Amino acid sequence: MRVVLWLALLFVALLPAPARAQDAKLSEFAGTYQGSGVAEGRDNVFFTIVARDLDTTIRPKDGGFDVTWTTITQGTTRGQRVVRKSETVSFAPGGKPNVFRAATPVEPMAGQPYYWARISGRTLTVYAMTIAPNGAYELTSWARTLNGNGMDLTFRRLSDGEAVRTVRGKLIKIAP
Amino acid sequence: MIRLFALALIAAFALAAPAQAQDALPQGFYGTFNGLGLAETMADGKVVEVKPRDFDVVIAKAADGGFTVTWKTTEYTIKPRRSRLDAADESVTFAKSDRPGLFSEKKAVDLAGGDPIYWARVSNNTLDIYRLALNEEGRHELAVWQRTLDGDQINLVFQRSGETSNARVVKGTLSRIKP
Repeated sequence: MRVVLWLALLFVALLPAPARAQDAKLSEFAGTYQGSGVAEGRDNVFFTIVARDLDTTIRPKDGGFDVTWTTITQGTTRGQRVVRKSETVSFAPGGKPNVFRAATPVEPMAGQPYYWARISGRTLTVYAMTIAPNGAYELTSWARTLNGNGMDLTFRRLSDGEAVRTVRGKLIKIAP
Repeated sequence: MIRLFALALIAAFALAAPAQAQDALPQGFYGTFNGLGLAETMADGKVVEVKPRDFDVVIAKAADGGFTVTWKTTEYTIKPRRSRLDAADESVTFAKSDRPGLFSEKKAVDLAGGDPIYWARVSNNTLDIYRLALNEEGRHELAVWQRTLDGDQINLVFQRSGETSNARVVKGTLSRIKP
């Protein structure tokens, strides 16, 4: 009897750790969101990101998810226009509860962004780390926190530990 | 006169030369070093704790122009009835990458699965080693060891930042004890 009990305990101990109960489920983030925000850069220039610039679509898939979002970059010279680029990344389960790795392996030393994501509480955060040709790193994160009718977005970009740009925005869910 | 002009031109270029990426670690880095430093832990931009540290570093040549860095850090906590020593060590072998002056481990790593990513940059007399790691919850920690060679000494600046713990800055000096 004691052996059975020990075996049962061992089995439970070897099970993958469950996601924390207080964390949102991936399915809660699913949908298409649209919104606007304000960006703040190291150059102290504030500019408004107009509606639709923060479009995001999240689709759970095979225990992971696909996310499509718009990246906003601004030229360093005054008067240069804002460039918007759409990007889709697929994430697979990362082997730990609520941690995800990019579904496609990359080579960070070749300058390809290394993605990972995590869910903590009501927030899904996607990270991208890029190694520049001079070895410096750039770390970008998109933290999307569920609210009543959509998500709050905080975008941060660090370059070698220095904050380069922060964007705060609100997104409304427009489609499931 | 022409020779003087040429010398002046060479001197001007030499002075203006920016930090250059290099394909090999300068010879002076190879050897065994030890030294002392202070670790400052920051919270809300202020230093909240200072601890002394010992450093031991061995830098050796590796295959194909790469190098292996092995280091051990011993941190002293000095408090009545709670004094203790904490030691940590790491050893990483770097290989040349396709980018000038940049080195990385030759193995595939699974960052989300718990493997840290290491890479290194060699520029003039400075060796920067970066480590990115994730904890169980996917929160990241970025550490940078900047080692600058000055004769038989290495000046070390270590910086840790990220989401897992308070930022930390460690500064110290190591001296060569073996070639």
